[in-house]
Amino acid sequence: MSAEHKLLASSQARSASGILPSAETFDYKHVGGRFVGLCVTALVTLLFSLILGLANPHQFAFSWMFAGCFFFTILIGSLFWIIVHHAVDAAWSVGIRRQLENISCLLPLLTLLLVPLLFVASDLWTWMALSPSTNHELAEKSAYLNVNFFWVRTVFYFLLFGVGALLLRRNSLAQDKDGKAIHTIRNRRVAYFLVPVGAIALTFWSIDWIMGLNWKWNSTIWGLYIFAGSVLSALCVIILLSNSLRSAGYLKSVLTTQHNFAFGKLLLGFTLFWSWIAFVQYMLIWYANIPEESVYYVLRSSASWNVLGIILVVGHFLVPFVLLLFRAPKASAGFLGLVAGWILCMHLLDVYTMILPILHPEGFRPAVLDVVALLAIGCTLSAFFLKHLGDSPLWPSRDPRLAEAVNYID
Amino acid sequence: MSIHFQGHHLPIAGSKEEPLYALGARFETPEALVQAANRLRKEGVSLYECFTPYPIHGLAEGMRLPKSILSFLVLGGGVSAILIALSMQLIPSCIIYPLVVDGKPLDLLALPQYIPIVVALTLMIGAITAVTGMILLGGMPQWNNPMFAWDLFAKDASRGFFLAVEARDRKFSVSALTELLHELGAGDITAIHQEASEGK
Repeated sequence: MSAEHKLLASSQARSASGILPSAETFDYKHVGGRFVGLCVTALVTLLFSLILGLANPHQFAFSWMFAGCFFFTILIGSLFWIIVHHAVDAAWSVGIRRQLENISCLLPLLTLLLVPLLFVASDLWTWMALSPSTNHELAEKSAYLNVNFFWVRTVFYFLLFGVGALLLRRNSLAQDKDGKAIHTIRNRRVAYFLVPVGAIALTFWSIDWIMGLNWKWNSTIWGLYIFAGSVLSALCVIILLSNSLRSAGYLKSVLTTQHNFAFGKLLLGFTLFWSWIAFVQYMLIWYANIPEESVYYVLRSSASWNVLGIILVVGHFLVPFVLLLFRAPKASAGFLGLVAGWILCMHLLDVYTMILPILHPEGFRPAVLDVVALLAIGCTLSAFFLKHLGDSPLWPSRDPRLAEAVNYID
Repeated sequence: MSIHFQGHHLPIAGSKEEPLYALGARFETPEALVQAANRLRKEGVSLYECFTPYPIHGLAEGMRLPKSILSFLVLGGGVSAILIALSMQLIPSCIIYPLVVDGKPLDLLALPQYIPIVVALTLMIGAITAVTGMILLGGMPQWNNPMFAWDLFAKDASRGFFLAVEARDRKFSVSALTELLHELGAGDITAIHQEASEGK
């Protein structure tokens, strides 16, 4: 028996034993005027970003980069959850997979929104303005760190992630129509390809885009650090999203208290994962005390940046760790939503302290553009998300593992 | 050896001269076992045990087992590990023999360098507490379980879904329980006596 037949047989056996929930589609009556408000906010903030950006391109470069990276990590994290779902043939996450697909398929749009960075690239990545012929250090690195290769790599990253996300969603939607198990197998193949290639691509993306903001600095664990933040923030977003869909009356038959326990456990696990990676990076750099490496933390522990660093340690690690340690509260979707929202704010701060200290080494200087850029990209992505939310059923209604997912017991 | 009891055939395991230990029964499916555990609890029977070859979801809830204290033991183990690890590092390197390397501070300002040991010891003692706690709270080590007087159980414990109501239970009554277990679909209902001890 082939894998496909086995999967189908098991799904038929399972759906025969229990009644599968029928597909639900999102009804726009739940958003109504808010959708218009979102579109208006998006347009206004995009316009504001343009005006403020033309007035101060240097600030715009960093603010836009900050907002872009924040949303990029969330989208890439969602893609990771889909990949891992298919790669390990998971059952519990079938109910949330369509929403993860919807989120990760915003990647092409985000790529488009990041295009303005092309015009301010040399403000961000200062090595671009330097000449290897006069700078010995850059000459040593120029085999990798040169403008043409940088853009080739960037195109590759966004193409890989964008195509991967679209492919996974296309197969998933095709399965909604014909219910064939082959689509699951196909997605599994995409996932197997993306696990190693995507991991390498994300590592190099984070090196090129974020580590490259200070091209003299290096940290070998940097890719993993970005990955940890991405996975955690995507988990927070999917928890908040499924909470709001559940409170609007959807997804109730596929997401139960048992799934809340799973969310809570993963939230705790990935909080610890992020904390450990962040600590290890800090500890090794602090202990080795090599100027090329410690420059990152010297900047972020001087002046008012130090306060943000301490908030990060307490807020990104200690608070969620203690809150999520006990089992009983994790049954409540409201509690999880609160913690997820908190961690998401901390992730925002994390991305902020990665990028903005380079612009303002003298200390924390909040700018209007930071908020405007965040709103512009965030509202545009949310508006597109809502626009396409009703296009497909809210969960993969004919997935072979749906019955298993619905009856999932933590 | 067996007796006929209200029309049912009730086999006896173990030695008839020894006191009755429990009434055992075998179920065909885990679902039937969970249902029976649930029902017994509703009838007010509390001293019974389920034996399954693998963990079954819903069984602990069906038996209304209280939350295990294991997690608090592990928490205690973890917290004491943190204290042990910190004092074993701070006392020698700050008080007894301060050794300055690279001009680094030695007190709590240098906390990062103490953390890896703290984490490792917390994980280790936490894990050891979890495993030993699980074994001890599970009543092990125990040389023998009177259940093994029942040949069928000794042979099939790794395959079947068994349930035994202990004779010590306040609601224990062979006739009523036999009826109830039959009704719940149990097979091989057996009165399990303790085995005759070697000395006798």
